[in-house]
Amino acid sequence: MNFSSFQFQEHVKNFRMTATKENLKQAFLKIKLPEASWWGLRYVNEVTTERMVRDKHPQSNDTFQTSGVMIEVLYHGHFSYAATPLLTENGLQQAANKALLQAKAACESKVFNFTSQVRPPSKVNFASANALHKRSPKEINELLVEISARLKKSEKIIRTAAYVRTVEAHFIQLSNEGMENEQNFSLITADFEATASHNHVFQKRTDGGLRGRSYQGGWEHLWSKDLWQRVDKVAEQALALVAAPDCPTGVLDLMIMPDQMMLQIHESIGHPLELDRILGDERNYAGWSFVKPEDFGHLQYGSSKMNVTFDPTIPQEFASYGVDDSGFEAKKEFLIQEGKLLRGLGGLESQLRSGLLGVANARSCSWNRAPIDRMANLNLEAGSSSFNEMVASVEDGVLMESNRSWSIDDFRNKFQFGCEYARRIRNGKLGEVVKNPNYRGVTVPFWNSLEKVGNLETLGVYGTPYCGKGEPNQIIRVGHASPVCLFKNIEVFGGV
Amino acid sequence: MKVINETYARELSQFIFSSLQKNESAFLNFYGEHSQFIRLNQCKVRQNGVIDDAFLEIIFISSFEGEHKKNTCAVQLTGEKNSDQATLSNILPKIRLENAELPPDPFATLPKEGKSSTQILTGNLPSEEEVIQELTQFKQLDIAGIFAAGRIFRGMSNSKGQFCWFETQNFNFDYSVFNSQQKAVKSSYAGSNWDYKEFIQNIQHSEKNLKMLNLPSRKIDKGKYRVYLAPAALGDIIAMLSWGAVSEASIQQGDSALKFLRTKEKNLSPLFSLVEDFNLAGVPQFNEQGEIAAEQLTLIEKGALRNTWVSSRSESEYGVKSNGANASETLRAASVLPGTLKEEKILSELGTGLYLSNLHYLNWSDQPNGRLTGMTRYACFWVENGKVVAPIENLRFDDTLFNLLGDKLIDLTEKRECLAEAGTYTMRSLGSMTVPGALLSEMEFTL
Repeated sequence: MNFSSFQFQEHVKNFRMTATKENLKQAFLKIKLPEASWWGLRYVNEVTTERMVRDKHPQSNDTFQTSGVMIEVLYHGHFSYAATPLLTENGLQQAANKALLQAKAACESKVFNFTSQVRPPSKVNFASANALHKRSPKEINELLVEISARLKKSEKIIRTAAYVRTVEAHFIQLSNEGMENEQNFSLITADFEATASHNHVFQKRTDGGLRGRSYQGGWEHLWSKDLWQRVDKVAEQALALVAAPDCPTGVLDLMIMPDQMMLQIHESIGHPLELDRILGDERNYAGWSFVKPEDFGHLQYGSSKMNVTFDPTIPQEFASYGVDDSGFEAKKEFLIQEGKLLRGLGGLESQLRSGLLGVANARSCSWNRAPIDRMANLNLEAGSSSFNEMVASVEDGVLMESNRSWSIDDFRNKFQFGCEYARRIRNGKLGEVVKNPNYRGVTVPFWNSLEKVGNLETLGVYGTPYCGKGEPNQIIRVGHASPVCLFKNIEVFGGV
Repeated sequence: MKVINETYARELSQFIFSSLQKNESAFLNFYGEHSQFIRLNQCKVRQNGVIDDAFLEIIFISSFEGEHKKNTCAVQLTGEKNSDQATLSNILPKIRLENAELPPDPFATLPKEGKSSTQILTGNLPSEEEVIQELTQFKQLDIAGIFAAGRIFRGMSNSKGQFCWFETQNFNFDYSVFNSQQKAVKSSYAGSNWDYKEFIQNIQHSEKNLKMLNLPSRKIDKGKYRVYLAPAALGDIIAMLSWGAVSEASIQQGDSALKFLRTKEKNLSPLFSLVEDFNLAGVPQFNEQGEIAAEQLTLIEKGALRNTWVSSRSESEYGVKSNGANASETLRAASVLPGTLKEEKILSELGTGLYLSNLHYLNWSDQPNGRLTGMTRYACFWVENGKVVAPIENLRFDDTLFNLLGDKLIDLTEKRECLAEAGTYTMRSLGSMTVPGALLSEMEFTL
């Protein structure tokens, strides 16, 4: 990608600080740390805009710009950090000095003895395939107002909203051993929703669950060819839901659409496979994992139809990148193949600590947090069944779509999910709409009940900006692609 | 980074307001911290460092013939005057340009003259180097957790001359101690004055409680059980009320289960009262628009809805009088009033059932109808005839607010705990919640 042709929206570009790789490098090379064996800089400049219209009125037109560096220092086998927004030679030196003090104070009590091999001297350039070219706030607001207006198809629709969030981010990584990486990201999340009410029943329907339409790229993800078709569908389905019976309770076959598979993959594959969780780092907050080191290479995590990959290479997927925040180059890897667990989601530090295979996923949410193991793009690979074949194979079941509730235990076993919309399936045919569809289960038995995996035609690519983890806490973006899937004999239930 | 203090914030405020044109007004919100973070695993340092961060949010409003347009822009601050003023000089024309393109906002709130305030709370924090040795000295214990400490500030000014400033120095060591069976006790030591003896006592108390988890675990079948929720567990349920419950906008838009309290179709238990009490919480009383909340605001009194949190935006839209809510209309200083259950009677009054120290990963399973799901976590026990018998394997619950804080609530404890906010998303959060424990006749567990 030619960086000189990388375009930003005019007004967003003007919010950026003026740091370039060259001037940061000049300042970085002047850092003096004679006592440290390695030091590095990670710069992030990120401009986020959020615009929302509710009931045809503007709710927010917000811009948030953040910019700073984290200096990491390695001293006697231990990394410590100091982060500052002050991008001057003096600011960087002060941060380096602080990081060294922290490392000196902690190195005798460190959890592991690292070397700089976990910060490889990579030289990677990456940029999102498409950029957010110029769209004026006027155009964007007009579109959101139009969506909000069109969603109100009936007096029973009591609330409509349309939302778009963009992020333009510039990352630079340098080290005293020659790391020199630069990445530019262009990201967009678009969503709209309608809440219907009838006879004291309230139902909300969105376009793909909670901010699920999150992509790397440009305005084509908002101004899409099927936009108005999706807007009409959301409104119609909200009205259908308030008139619908509750989802039945029982053990049934369950077909899950990609915008709910997203959460299923995220919570019951992504998080349990994070190596830092398996090593116990997250036990005080996000939790541990039922997965043990000896499970890799042996555990039958799911049925033979289950193939899961870490894939940073899909251009439009939300968390694609060239190199992680430790400087490790990112490439696609199978984590689970034909149901067998092969590899964890852990960067170089966790791989060294655990002795297990991992991927390039040491990531931080910004310049002011240290990198930890984060899932990025985590995908269920497509199978061979068509949507119609899958429906035809179900005698008694439910099809569920779009997540609205998620919960799982701290070992990532017992989960419960709720969706916005569902349809009954009886004797191989899609039937009536049902509301308040929920299901619960236990991770490994659930994935071993995976009966059919949809083909490429059923594949949906989704993501979310809001995966939370870490101490101190971090929210980070992730991507999840999945086909439609069919699970056998799942505990399904309805509303109150 | 230079320290950003009240004087600096006033200077930047003046710099911005002097640039406004006649039809323009603005609110400014200052956020910042200097924080040390020490992350532990196995009572050793996993990651540690210091963060300096600050940003300024400009809420910009233009007015013309009774119509208002609003946009916001938050920018990084460095504490260096020339750099920050250059950033602001660059930003203001861009904000103005964007503002001109926006549709009118019929519910935008304009700045008013209001009461200014300064509240600077100092503390006695441990040395950034020495504290690492103090935290990692317990070689016999498997401790995982996070120590976070330092200075936090919040400021608000508006173009009508109001200026409010709040800063504090505090620490929070939020941690869990694990036994060899992966069971753990959760605790925290938080405050503004680090007392080494108190810290040691806190750890020793956790170590003592951990011994109870060494008994073999019991698997409990799904079903309904009598339950005691310790303060942290009740606090997890109360925290959910910030997610589309106590907000006036949520009630108006149909999202909140508390709408049934407003219509009096349902009530919560007469034993349950929820107050926002700013005397207890260590948070500023001013919101993003300089509105000052009352020192105490009763939200729920003996099971009946007395007030919701109402922002000035909701006042404009729904005609309900605003009361200094923040923009999200969330809890900031929650205090659940105590009951009569004495601490020494908890187990005997529980009789046979579940003692739950903490809950985990709560979510609304049916938000408009007030149904919640979540998991048990940490030191949870099966109790028979008032005696702890065994720790339990974790359980999933799925039950409604109208049971948990309603019909099934038997009593609340006399003694309450102050639970300091431990969140550190974007920046360290301020505040705390003061809650008792709760004895329930029944709670439903589904997995």
